[in-house]
Amino acid sequence: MSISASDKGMRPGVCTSSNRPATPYDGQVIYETDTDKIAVWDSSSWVYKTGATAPNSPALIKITSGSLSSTSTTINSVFSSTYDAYKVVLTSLTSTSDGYLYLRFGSAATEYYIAAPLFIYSGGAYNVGYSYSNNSLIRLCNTGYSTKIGMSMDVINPYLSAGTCLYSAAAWGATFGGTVSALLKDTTSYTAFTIAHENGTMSGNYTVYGYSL
Amino acid sequence: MTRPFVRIIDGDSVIEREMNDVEYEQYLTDQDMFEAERQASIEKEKAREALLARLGITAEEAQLLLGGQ
Repeated sequence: MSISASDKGMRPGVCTSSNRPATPYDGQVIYETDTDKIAVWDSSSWVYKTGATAPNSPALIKITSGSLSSTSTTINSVFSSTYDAYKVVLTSLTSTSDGYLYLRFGSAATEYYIAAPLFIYSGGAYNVGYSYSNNSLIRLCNTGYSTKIGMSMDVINPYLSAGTCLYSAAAWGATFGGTVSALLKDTTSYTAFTIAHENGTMSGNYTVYGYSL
Repeated sequence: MTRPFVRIIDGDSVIEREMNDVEYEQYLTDQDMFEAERQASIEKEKAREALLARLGITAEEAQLLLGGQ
């Protein structure tokens, strides 16, 4: 076949990166309107024309959302092999008593290594925060004040049989802020996480997104 | 006395119930740890205030000495 006319051309299958052919065949070519790229199926994955492997999901994909309540809320079946990483967004967090909100992956109650530099408070000085080796949980923030707290955290590799990392902004009471970095240093594959309050019951909302690295 | 409640979400299924034995045991272990940390924090603050009193300086002056902001 020869195409020489200047006003003619080939047009591959047109789709989006989230709507690719379900059963591709080797050498199949597609054009993705959202990434503006041409990809070829190489028998195992979509490869962009540049040679880079097309990610499974280039954007955040919402997995689930709901509300937090009681002393603890466990969200099961949320981590899977579909995504490498997850963004967990918590909003409108309050509790019946002053205290910390904390997180666990699965039922793991050991091997959490945490650094949480905190800063800013009304006295004009700063606090160095805290660090833990081999702790039993990850403290995320302090609730119980009139202000409803929101926070966002990234969870890397929870489903892989490797260490799980968490990076989060931290709202710490009425006048503190900072970050929390944590590593769950075991090789368990996790599909669930639990948010709990140390001192009373909590309320708030959660949304979990998945993304590929 | 009732135990604290847990909420368990799995897809569209939402269950709220009292903690079972395993969960309650972990809860009590956690509470012991929180209380121990609260006491340690109180003791640390008392020691800090005692040191400041002994030195005769305020917390702000101590921050200045240490190069804090």
